[in-house]
Amino acid sequence: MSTVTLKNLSKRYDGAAAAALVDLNISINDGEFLVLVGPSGCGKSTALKMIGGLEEISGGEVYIGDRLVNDFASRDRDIAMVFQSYALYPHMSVYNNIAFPLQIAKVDRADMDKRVRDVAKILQLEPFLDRRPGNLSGGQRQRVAMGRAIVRRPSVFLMDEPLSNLDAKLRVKMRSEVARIQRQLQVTTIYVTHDQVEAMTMGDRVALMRDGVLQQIDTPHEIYHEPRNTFVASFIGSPAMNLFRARLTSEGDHMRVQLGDQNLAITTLTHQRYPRIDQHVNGEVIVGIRPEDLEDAALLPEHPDEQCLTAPISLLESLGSDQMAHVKLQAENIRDIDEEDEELMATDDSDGSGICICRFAAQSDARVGDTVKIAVACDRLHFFDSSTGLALRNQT
Amino acid sequence: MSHPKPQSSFSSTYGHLWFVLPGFAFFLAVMLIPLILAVGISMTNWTGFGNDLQFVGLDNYTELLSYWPFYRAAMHNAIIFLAILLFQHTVGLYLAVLLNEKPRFMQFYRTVLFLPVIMSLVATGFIWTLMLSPNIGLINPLLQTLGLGFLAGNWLSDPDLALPAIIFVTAWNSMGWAIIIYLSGLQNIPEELKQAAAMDGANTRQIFWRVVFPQLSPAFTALTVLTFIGTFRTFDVVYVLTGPLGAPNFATDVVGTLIYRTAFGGSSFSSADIRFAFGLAMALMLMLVMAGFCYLLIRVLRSREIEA
Repeated sequence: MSTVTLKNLSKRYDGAAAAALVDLNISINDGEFLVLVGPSGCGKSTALKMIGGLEEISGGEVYIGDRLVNDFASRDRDIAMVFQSYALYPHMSVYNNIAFPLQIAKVDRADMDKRVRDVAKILQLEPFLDRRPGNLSGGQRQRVAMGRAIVRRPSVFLMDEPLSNLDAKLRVKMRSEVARIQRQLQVTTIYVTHDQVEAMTMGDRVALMRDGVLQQIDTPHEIYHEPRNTFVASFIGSPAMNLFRARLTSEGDHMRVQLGDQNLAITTLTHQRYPRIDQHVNGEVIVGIRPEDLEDAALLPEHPDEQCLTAPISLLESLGSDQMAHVKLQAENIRDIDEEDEELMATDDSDGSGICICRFAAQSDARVGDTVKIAVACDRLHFFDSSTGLALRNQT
Repeated sequence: MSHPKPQSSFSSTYGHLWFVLPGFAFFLAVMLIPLILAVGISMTNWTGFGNDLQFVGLDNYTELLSYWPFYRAAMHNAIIFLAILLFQHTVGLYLAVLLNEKPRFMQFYRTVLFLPVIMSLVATGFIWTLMLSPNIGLINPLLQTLGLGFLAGNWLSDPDLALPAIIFVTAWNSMGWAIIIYLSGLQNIPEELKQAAAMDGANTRQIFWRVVFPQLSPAFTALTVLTFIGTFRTFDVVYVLTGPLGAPNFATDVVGTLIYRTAFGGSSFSSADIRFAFGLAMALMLMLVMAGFCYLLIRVLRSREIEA
């Protein structure tokens, strides 16, 4: 067990125009479960492979514990890795797959047997020890890959999208399984995924990356409720946060945000969370509203009028527990999650309107085509700079 | 009013076989019919000339069982097979591993190493006859220049050196196959498997022997069977290098040249010792033994292979 520290870690591939990884600085605590998440090509796997010694380091330093391991071969770093493809040895039985690292380390036979069987027990692999990986299901293979990693008791686990080859149901199950095993063993773990749900549910902390640059590293709660910029805001959360171009106005002490021809009051709480909106009064900002902060006003009769919007419903998706209402607002949508585009991009609706997704309770009677009054939880609005996309908080 | 005929159950089950007919007809004409004729002729005493022909039953086959030149020739084939096999699974594999590291100019090396395979064996044979010649060849002067003059010899006329010379030329000629087959096997092994082994603490040697090599068993099987077939029907290299008699003094005589001599002559101008039917019996016997061996080889080697 060990800490892992990355100092200005960089990667540039020969002949590539842009760097794959730019000055990554992360320090991971002993026993922590850190999730590296981001769209494909964001550099998360590259970072993981550099920590594992499978990819050459172009710049910066990797420390495991207090040892600088830049020049160490993979096998000298005391780490174990679970690969996306599992990388099981097809010619060996499950037993030998798990025992392989111990055989290489020339562990005493009796001790090895005990350790392999202990691991098999933890992972419920005991009935399959004599089988070859080819005769196992996806979930079983995944567990063998985990077993091979944990049998050595390394100081760090690296996991490269270990669940992405499983079907949806099994993935949910293995998600809690992996998290449970990690808590049980208390081994520092770095877990790469492109799935924000995995990131949110498994990690002690989540590091969100884009184009080789770390966007934010925080607990799942903070990264969800205090996104540092529009990319983080729209990547984390499903459906994504609604982002609109809007104007800030001020009448005396009261600030309002103008979305097309409608107004929302900015509460004191929101103002405290986003103090730098003061600098944008009578200017343009990006306002972010999470779908769950938009409710059918008919269900909330007490909700103040100045915290409501009115809009026609163009699509209604019922999920049983709640309903996703797509409403049309006279305001310009901002999207910041497309992998291709570099800049903030507006989704072009010819009439200058944008779609806003609201999570209505199942009790809502709203129908497609209705123009509904929507109660906005104005305490939980988010504000971002319209040119840089950065949150208008006092950032450290 | 004419209705289309309903499809009979026969035609719905076997109708598609019509599509195989052209290929089958061709196969029949050039393979099956000649084979059946050959089996028939091998049971006569036909010399290959004239109409003088009597049915002799299995006499040719029983004679073959105690015909020692056949065993001598087969023994030479077996020696060639084992030597080539050893060579391909060592030098060929090693070169394939080197090429798999994707060195600079890999395409060039690969082409150069594969080139002998696409060259005609007869042309190859003639080139090597010249190279190995004690009078005008390149090999002996080369050895002398390198200070290895004591190794120089009468390659194709010394009874101790002739078979090794044949093996050398065959090895040179067939190494391209070994490299290509092993290379494709190596390229099928996912990079992540080697990375996983490195993570698990294995060094380069352990990664090769414990992870990479076991997965080459399909390539090993294919190559062993191909080499077996190739070496037991070898003829052209021997014919060109040491002639139909397998000179010197039958030291390089293989079953191919023996069959050729027996069935068509070639040892002398007289046709007295030409026994076409006996030659055919030899060829058929060789075919049977080879088929049996291949079957065994494949069964044994396949059982070691891993199911993907």
